[in-house]
Amino acid sequence: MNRRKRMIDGLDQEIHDHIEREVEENLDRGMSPEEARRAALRKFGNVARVKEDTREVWTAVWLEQLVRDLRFGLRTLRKSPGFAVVAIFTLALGIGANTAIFSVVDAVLLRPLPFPQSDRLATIWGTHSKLHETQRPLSYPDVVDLQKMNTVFENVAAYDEGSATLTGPGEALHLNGARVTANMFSLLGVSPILGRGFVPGDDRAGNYAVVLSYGLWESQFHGDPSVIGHSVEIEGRGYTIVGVMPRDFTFPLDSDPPKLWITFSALATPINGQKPESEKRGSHFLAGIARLKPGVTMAQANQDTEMVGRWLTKEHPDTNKYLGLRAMPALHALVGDVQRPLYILLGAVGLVLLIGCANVANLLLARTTGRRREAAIRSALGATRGRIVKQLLVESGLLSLGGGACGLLIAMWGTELFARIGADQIPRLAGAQLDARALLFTFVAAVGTALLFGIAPALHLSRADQTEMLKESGRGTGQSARQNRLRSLLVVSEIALATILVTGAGLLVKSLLNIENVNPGFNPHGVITYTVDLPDSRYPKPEQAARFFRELFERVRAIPGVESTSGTVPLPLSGDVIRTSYEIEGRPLGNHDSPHVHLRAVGLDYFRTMEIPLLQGRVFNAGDTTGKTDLVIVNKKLVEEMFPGEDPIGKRIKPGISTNGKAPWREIVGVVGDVKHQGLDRGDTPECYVPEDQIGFSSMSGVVRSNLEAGSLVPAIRAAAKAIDKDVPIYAVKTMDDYVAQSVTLPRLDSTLLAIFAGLALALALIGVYGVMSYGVAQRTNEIGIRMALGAQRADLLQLVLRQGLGIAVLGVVIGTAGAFGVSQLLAKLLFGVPPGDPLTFAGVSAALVACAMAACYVPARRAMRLDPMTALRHE
Amino acid sequence: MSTRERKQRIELLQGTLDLLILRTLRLGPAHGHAIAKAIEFGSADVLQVEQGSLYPALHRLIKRRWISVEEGTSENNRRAKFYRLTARGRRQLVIETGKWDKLATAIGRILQPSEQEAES
Repeated sequence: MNRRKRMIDGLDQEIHDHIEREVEENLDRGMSPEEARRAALRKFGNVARVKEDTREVWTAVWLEQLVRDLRFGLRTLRKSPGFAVVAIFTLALGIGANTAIFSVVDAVLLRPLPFPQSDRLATIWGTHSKLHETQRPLSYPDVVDLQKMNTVFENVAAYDEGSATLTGPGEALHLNGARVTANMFSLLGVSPILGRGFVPGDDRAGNYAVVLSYGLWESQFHGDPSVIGHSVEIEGRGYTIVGVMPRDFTFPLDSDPPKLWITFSALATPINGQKPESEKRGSHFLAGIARLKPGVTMAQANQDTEMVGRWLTKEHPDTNKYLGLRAMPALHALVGDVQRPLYILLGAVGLVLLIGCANVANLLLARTTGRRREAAIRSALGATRGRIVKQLLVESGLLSLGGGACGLLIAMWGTELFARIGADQIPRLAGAQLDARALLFTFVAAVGTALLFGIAPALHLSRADQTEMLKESGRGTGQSARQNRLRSLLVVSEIALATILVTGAGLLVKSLLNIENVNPGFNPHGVITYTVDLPDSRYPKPEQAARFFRELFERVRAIPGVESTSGTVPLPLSGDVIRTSYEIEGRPLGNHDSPHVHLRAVGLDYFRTMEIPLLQGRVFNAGDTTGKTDLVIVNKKLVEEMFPGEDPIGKRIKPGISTNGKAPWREIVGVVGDVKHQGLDRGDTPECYVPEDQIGFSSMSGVVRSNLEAGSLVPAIRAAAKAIDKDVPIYAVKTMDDYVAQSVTLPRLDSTLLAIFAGLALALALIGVYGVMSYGVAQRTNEIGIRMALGAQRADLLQLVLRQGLGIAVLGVVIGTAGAFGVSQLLAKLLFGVPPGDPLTFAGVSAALVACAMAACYVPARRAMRLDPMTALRHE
Repeated sequence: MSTRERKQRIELLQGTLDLLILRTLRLGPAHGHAIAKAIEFGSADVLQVEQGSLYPALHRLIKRRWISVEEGTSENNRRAKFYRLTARGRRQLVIETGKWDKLATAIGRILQPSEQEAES
């Protein structure tokens, strides 16, 4: 446009000068002034037209053509609104679903972490060679040594998450918080907007500094800048507010972001004369993060990290015998688990869009019949083939842009729905929205789609022989065999793609049903849970915590409507684990390593409240308190592994847990059923339960079985807690059913969406089959009439049509099954109790698809059968 | 200027004007009026070029990058746009000339077969 303006600028002047020169020449030749001007103008020609012609040289011809094509396209589509609506709706579904999944994939997987140069951040994990674990937490001394020994990182930091009770002027608040090493904020490259971050001295014993999140600063401190230097009480200890982080800063990047950050200084303080936690190499509770030095690759960093891990094993064989370290990209560490399900969904919607394209292409092909004369006339009038193809593609573009626009509505709704269902389980999902990137994706998808479904019909139409077409009567006879082949081919591929999707969805749904049918080992219905953390500073002794919880549970039990109540830590399906090694009395370890066991502390009545079956022996009772015999109840799995064929009751084991630094031998008094603590799809592990009264954990989750709603029960529980200690909040109120549902959120989301996409695919493919078959019948009306006249039975005709449909369906299903077999290998990791090549699913899906395809053929087949022979014969 | 002269003039074939412009500019840059004069003069006034049609043609050639345009001062110190042949245009001139020769020969053969036969 600019070039055009520049070139045409001065044209008037140039023409004026030109004529003046001619006039002067004429005057020189001796003409009179008027004659000279007249002659010059005559010789020049029509000035206005010259200007116009010159301007036209610079006009974008393609743009004008495009506008013309658009107008023509709109007119054509308006003339067949039925076709336009079906096509646009199909495309809207396909493009919309793709945009929705894309915006989720983009937000969760593709976008960089919200820190400067986040691709240089590595997550450090511990490994355990014997247990084949690769994502273990680290111990504080190991992190310190990695920081000192490595050659690849600028800095190594560590953190853990937890919750803390903040006591201030108002009611005690229970907040998510994170403990971080003092170098964390500088490593991430984010500075506070107010005050300072942590400095090296902050993590030494005796220094208590807290950095607030922007949200907490605003809500609790009214955004007052003078809070810096003030003191707040966290977990009963005075902390000085040193800084406030920016509004959009969050770390760790979990769905439930921390509201404040403190250092590990409290852990550096010896408690009860024991070694401080930060010096225990056997105490693994940290997540590590590191920033790579410039020029160091992630692979080099991992190698070096592994080397430090091996060195630690050599230096500290007692604690680090099987332990190692590894580094991986921080983004991948965060989203690695959801990568596969999300990409599978993206692939699935892609297939749906492909099927949609095939369908619209089929519709377009059917329309070409009517438009062949139009194309022939245009071509006879001098339109080139390219011009005709372009015009038809513009029409396809109109359809698919229309589809894209409507698809945005579907995408908006879909993204929101997805985010609502999965936000708890998928990191960063809350950030999924239709932004510029998603819009760009939609546009590209729409244009690509238009090319995909438009090109074949357009080429097909433009290739047709002009004279043949002009001669044709335009009644749809003389259809080229080529077009029929093309249409059948499209339908075959639709069925094949649908087979792949339905098979994949079938496998996932079957897997989900398997998971949901797993018996969790307890009865989650009607159980409400809550959590209470006691500040160590006011409950330093285990007996004090135990007393608090005993009293709390008694008060809750007294609430009218409560059937039974107790408490445990950790709560089943909450994701928390206490894992420890243990010994069995009378079995020297020899060369063997001590076995591991998951340990839980429980209150009285726990097994009754949760309805965990007692298989042998007895449960704990009120007499089992500290100072008496130390007791333990084990699960069935532990008995099967360690006491096969023996009576475990009365035997003694020693789990590595104590109240005073020396783990006692504990007598087995009972055996209970296995409980799916880690997840419904996990195997059973050896478990042992110890009485809270003999452990005194300062954090417990209460469980309440009652017929009351949470809404009426919770205030009563709050009141009960407050009556004992007004500064102890209860939080994380959820039903046990919530925990169960949450544990299957991801598989359910995945299989539900895949099932929806498969349903769409199937519907589209069947529409395709129906379309081709009814078109075929309409085309063969004449032939059918002749067959009838020659004595064909109606059943023969039905068979004739069905056989053709069956051919298409079987071919598609066979190809699709082969494809599905390949695709199912990708699903293998997501499947529970279903082999990826599950013959039942494959056979069922194949049979169902053929049956559905036959049903889609039946309607046109019956139409063929019912044709009146006389009408059919006369049909031209 | 008389009727006799005008009768002998012939109109240009479509596209030949481009060729003539390129040929004219081979001698050096020129402004629009000079090009028109050169064509008239070169053809001994036989070719009737409506001078205005020069301008769309010039712009077409610019668009194809066969000629370029620059500001300059004409012989009598007036500012004017000067058109100049580009390297591409020079190449194109060779091609177009070759084409024209072929066309002329072919048409000549059709129109005067007898003469050719007689000559041979």
